Amino acid sequence: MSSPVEQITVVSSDGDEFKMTVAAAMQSEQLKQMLTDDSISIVKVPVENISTEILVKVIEYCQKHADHEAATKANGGGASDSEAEELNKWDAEFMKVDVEDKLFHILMAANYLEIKGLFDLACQTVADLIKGKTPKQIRKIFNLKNDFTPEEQERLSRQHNCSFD
Amino acid sequence: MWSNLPFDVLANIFSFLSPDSLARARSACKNWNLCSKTCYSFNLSASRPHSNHQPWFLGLPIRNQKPCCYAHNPVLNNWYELSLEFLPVPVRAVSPIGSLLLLKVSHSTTLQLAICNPFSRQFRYLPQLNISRTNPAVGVVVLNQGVQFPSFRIYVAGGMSEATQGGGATYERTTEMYDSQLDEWRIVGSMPVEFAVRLTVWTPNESVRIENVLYWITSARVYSVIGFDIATNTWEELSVPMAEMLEFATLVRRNGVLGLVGGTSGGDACIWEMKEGKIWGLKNKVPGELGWKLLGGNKRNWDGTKCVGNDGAICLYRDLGSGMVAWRKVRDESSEWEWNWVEGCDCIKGKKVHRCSIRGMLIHPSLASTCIF
Repeated sequence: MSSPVEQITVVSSDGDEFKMTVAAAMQSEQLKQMLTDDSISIVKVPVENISTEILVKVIEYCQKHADHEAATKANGGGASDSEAEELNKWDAEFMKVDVEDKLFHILMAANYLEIKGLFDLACQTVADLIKGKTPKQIRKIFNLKNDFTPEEQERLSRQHNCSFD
Repeated sequence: MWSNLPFDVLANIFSFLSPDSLARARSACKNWNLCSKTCYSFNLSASRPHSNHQPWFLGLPIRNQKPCCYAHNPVLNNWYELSLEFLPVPVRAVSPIGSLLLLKVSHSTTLQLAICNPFSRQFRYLPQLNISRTNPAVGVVVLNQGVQFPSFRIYVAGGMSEATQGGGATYERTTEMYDSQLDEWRIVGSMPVEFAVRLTVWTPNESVRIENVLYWITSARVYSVIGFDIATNTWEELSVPMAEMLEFATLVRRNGVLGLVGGTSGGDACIWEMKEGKIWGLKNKVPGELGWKLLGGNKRNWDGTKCVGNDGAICLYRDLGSGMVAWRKVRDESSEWEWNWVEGCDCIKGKKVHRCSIRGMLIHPSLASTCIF
């Protein structure tokens, strides 16, 4: 029986190693499964799809949320409104990243590592960028190619009866 | 990059979007279009706890000159015109059911009900009742609230039934129930004739359900409220505060409690709530300036004012262009409500809109198809 693990090491696709506390790692369902499975003894976890730049951000998120959870437990269970709001503010600042690069990769990393909070946060951020924009503006923001034929475009706008333009 | 997002990720993003934003997102590129059609992100969106879940006000013109209706988006505070050309017959709205509308066919002597989704443009007739009747009261019980396409039951009570054997038409004393899961009607009980009389013609309004009781208010002075206890199959009549003086009166459900919104001549519009022991208590008043704006004139005459309400919002309106006074829950979790003025719909994309009389409904829009159709 191995002694209880305090930290794990994750290795980015660039080969850089980072230490994570167990509490932070548990934010990821993937890592949590590995940690709670006694048959696996963890030394280093390679996360092949995630670059150093993104991994640093992801670890930062996990640590912050793990700390918040621990503090909440210590206070007897319920996070006060102001603490919850503070965390929301932190999350909002955390997600102020460029769309073309970081946002996409954080979204994919959160999906891959199954970090629900970060995944929903990233999806909400993307959704907020879409809200209130025309299709043309959406394409510009996300660098999407308009691959509809003119007939298809006509049909799409008629389908929604020009009511949601 | 973004165009090649895995569909499950994209569907999760779409679940955060309101229907109008989703409609635009699905027009951005083919992949996004395909994802929106194949992935059921609408189920996810029902669990998103924020302002996406303020109901929209839907104004349905009473005299359908042009087959369309008008929807107000409370988040962006703008109006949309929705075509109703997909409806095969002229209809009148009866009640919202989650994301659907319960309708009755206009030119039918006996009651014929149908359901539709004005956003996805789907329509279906409901089966015929066991006993044909004209102008009965119609009540709706939604079984699993908060879901976009909930199961529901419809109660039809009273009305006039056709004459049998050469006699005159009589008041129909039976109550029938439609179960959406079984897709059929069943006779569930009967009522004293005096209730059958009250329920015929004089209760065309939306019912309000509080726990096991369905309530209707009569349509004109002197207002009174009729309650039907579904569990015990019993009927009762309740009084209405200032019943003889109210110029308009509507029942609403607010925070799970029965509410009454009404206005007196020369006075304010008020909101009462029914407390323990079936006593009405004054809860709030429409702020003077907002009431004034709605009436748009010098007289404090509430005649012609209408109201709709559900757990998250109460809206007072008159016609399509009059504007609305809205009292809405600030956030889902909080218990704070705030008053707002909503500009009426007088112009859509630069074209003037005819200022017509409307019937309002509060609905949660959804673009999803459902197997109920």
